[in-house]
Amino acid sequence: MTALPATQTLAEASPPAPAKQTGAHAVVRTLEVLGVERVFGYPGGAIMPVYDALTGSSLKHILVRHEQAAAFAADAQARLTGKAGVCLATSGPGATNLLTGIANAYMDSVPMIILTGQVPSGLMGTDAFQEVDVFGMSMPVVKHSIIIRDPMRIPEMIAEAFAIAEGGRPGPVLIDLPKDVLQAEAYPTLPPESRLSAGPSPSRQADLDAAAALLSSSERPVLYIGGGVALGGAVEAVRDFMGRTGIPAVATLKGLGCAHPEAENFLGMLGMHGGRAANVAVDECDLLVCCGARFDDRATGRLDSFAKGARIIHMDGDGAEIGKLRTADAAIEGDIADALARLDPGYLDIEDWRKSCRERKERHAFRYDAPGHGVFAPAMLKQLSEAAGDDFIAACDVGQHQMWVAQHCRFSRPEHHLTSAGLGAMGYGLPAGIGAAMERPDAKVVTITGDGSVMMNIQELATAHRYGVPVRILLLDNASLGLVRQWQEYFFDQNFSEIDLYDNPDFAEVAHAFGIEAFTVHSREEVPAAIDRLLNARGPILAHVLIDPRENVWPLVPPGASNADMMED
Amino acid sequence: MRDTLRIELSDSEGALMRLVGLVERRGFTIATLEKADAADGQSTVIMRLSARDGARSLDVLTRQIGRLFDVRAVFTPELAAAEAAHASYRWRQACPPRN
Repeated sequence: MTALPATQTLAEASPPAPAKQTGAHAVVRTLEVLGVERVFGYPGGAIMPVYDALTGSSLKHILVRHEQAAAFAADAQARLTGKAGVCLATSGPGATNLLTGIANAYMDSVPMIILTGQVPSGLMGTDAFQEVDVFGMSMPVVKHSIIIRDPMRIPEMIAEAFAIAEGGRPGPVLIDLPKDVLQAEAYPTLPPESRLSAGPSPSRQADLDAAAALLSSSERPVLYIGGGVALGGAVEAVRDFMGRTGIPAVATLKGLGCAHPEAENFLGMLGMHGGRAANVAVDECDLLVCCGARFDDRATGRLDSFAKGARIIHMDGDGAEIGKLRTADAAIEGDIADALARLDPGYLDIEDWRKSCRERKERHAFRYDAPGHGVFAPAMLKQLSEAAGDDFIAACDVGQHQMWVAQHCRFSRPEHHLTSAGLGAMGYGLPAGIGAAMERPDAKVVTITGDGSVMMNIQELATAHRYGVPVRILLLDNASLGLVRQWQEYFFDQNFSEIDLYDNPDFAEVAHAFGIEAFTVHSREEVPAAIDRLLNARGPILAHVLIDPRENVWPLVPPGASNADMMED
Repeated sequence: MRDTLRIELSDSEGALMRLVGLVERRGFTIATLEKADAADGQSTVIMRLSARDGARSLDVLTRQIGRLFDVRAVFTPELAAAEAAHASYRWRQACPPRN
């Protein structure tokens, strides 16, 4: 975010404005001055003054075809850049359509600014046309929210919203804009310096000493990497710590990509669909070093049996996470990168433990030699990510394919794995892929989706086509809601209820109708050419891949069970 | 068992709603709530609350309250709650104040 001199006016700071400036002009010009280049949105009644002010602005507005997609696209852009993504919608249904995307950003700690139009101030609270209390409705899923009542305070309050969204543990901030405030004539001054502190404080040395002592006496330590590592800018620190200490490491869904992908002592993802090497290591460890993770139930399984014999070191930039679900024997609050750099346990005599973890990793490595000629999705995803290399960015949807991506794809960086981790929102993949590919057009951005998920935001093919977005769409079609079907198969006595999508459209034809290049993959032999065609496409392209509906995600920890009790194929 | 918290928060729009919503969502029931305005654009809220189940930690709740943007500081009574009911509260800061 650009720092703003306290005395500068909007007119001095940005290109010439129309003679009469309104609150809406102040919104647009403040965004320009703050360095925003792109906003995702959809116009409507109460937000029309902002759309009027957008013409002639340097902001690039991306017209999505559903407001939820605006939030998801802004979310993906924010995950890649670390800067707040911006989305924009009108009051009422426009605002409510954003809510899933806001919740998604909140659950995964993504910085985002949500601008919503609102009915005029005098009509608020009267059940006016397209009036909903989005300020109140969104409260559980925002880091903060404001209603701007005074047009003169627009620049100051928007700048503060950015500082809140991006500072500390990031999150979404909603700004509700009554129409009369947007239409009022206003010539505000740019804001003073933010009153927020810059970042997390360094950890206390005494806490680090306590953690070092626990590490020194440990015989079987495991590093448990979560999304807070990437949020805290601690990826290099984690890699250095792993190299320096040799501690075996596991990662949550959001922690994937933090460890170097070729690191020998990285055991993969833990949890419900984690690998055996990762889950058994956590089960057997005597010390769990939790680094930016939050003991989420998908990672821990049954909490009282998770790392049951282990003591806990918990380091996090957000002190409210420490002790929330598991008491810490050593708590380290503050800058994770700084803490890891200063955490020095000396030489650790854990070679036998390392060796047993390594051997288990090799013994239980995923296999890709599935019988038959049909496309084996895990193998295709592995080949795809390896062919794309370090520039591979996956925008996942939610379901079996999401877990296959986590298990089988190679990520050079955590921000290259765009996934709806906390909320698990089907429909994320396509708009997230569009947002990511707009931000990183030279990368190999691939939306990996399923036939269930893609239908939740398939209208965004129009957005991909309109802007020529270089997003590759890999649609794994098993003609069913696969993950639900898998659970019904194993936990609901094979009572298959409402999961059959036998009447899906021909997705390649659908893509063609939107003007997008598309093709269908029927067999394993076609996979190499399909990957080549996808990765070398210059514009949007969709590969419709038919897979076996009976294919399941393995391993699987049954609900309510310990991670040590994995089911396997 | 009921606990008591004193929360200092700014008088910004929605601050009280945000505070009450968080306490309820995090698994606590508010028994009583008293709000008093201070002169400097801040309010003081004193609430008596109890956890809906034994797994909820007041210490974690105070830190979750402390990260609300409107909240300036969170205090717990220096005396145990039972004693505090019969005495004037003396407060111990549970969360660092926000600058």
